[in-house]
Amino acid sequence: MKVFWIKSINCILIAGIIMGYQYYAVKRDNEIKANEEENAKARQEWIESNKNTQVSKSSIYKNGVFEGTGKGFGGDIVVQVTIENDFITDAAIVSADNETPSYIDAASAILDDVVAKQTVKVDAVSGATLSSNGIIEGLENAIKEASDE
Amino acid sequence: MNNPFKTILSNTNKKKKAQILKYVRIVVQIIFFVIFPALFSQAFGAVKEVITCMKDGKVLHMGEFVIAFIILCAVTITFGRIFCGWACAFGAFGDFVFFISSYIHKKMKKRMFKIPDKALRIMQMFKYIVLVSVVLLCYGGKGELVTKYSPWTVFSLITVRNKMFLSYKAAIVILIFIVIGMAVKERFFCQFICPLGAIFSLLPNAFMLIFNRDNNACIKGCKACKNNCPVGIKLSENHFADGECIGCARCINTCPKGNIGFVRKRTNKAN
Repeated sequence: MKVFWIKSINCILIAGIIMGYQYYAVKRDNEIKANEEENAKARQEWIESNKNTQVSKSSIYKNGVFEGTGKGFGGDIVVQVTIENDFITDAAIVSADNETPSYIDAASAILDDVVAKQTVKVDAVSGATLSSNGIIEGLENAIKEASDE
Repeated sequence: MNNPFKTILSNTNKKKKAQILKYVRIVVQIIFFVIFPALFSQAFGAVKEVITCMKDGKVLHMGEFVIAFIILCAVTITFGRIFCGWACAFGAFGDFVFFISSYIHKKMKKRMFKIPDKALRIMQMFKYIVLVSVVLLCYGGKGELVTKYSPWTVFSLITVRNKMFLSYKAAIVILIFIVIGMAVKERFFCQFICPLGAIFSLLPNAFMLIFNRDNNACIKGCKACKNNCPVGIKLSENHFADGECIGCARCINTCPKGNIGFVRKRTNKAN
């Protein structure tokens, strides 16, 4: 009986810690999101203002939508990256036929990360590491495509 | 009331029921193996995901993995570790390996190696070390390492017939060791290594026991239930509370007197 209560209390404690963490994480995330929105606005303005003055000559990457393929858990994953004036404005999965849907769902969280951080060097989602790595590999290939002359 | 014929009859009935239970379990295991071959690694993936998110200060989201983990925890709290015994694909794989191994042993008329009680208890503690190391690795941002060395990665890649498993050489070696272990000791992985099993055995069990024995009706000196238990539980003692029981119902099958039942009896003051 004693063991039962000790275990129960431990469980409640851990659940409590996680919930407490979540409360603060959400709070912080909202602040970050507000910040990011401002950044996105600034970025958009920058793109707009440079559209007329500067043709993409000096930019490192070509403008447009680029596709890349990476090896995931069950097979190939095709992703696409949209680049405007050296900014990644969108990243999406085109096809992942042989992936388990729940894994791809979990792994696709990194796509938002890519746009937010403006890099494809992001961390894999643990629990769906192999699908994540496939997506990241695809993104890297897409970026390569964009930088090739 | 104490008609011996009647008792024998009721015992054989009980035994028949127990035999049916054995086959029901095998069917359930096969069904779960086909439908949810990766449920165990998904559920544990949720743990890794949550810890990695907490390290990065990210918001936790209720993904499918997290939901699977919460459901499995709820099941374990209410019914004990029946997931381990009846639904886990890796557990079923272990049972299959042990089945083949014991069949070969029988054919060769050799006895299976038996681990002494005390050593068994100590080895069962090892899974907590595995759990703590995985948690620490994830918290230290080395979650990739866990995937690299996890035998589950190779196992799940093999189940989807992906040739990529060949690139996880260290994990293949570990998996081979585990398969050898599974052949030597029943439920080797589940009781000694499984970090998900470690979490489940730390959860409180709302009913305290799933199986219960009427000690007074036991044959003197009979230890059939304990000897046949894959995780070496002594029913008369307090071991159910330690969360090792995987609810395999072997004890019900084994008891020569049909003395073990599901429901906790009031007369038994085991706890």
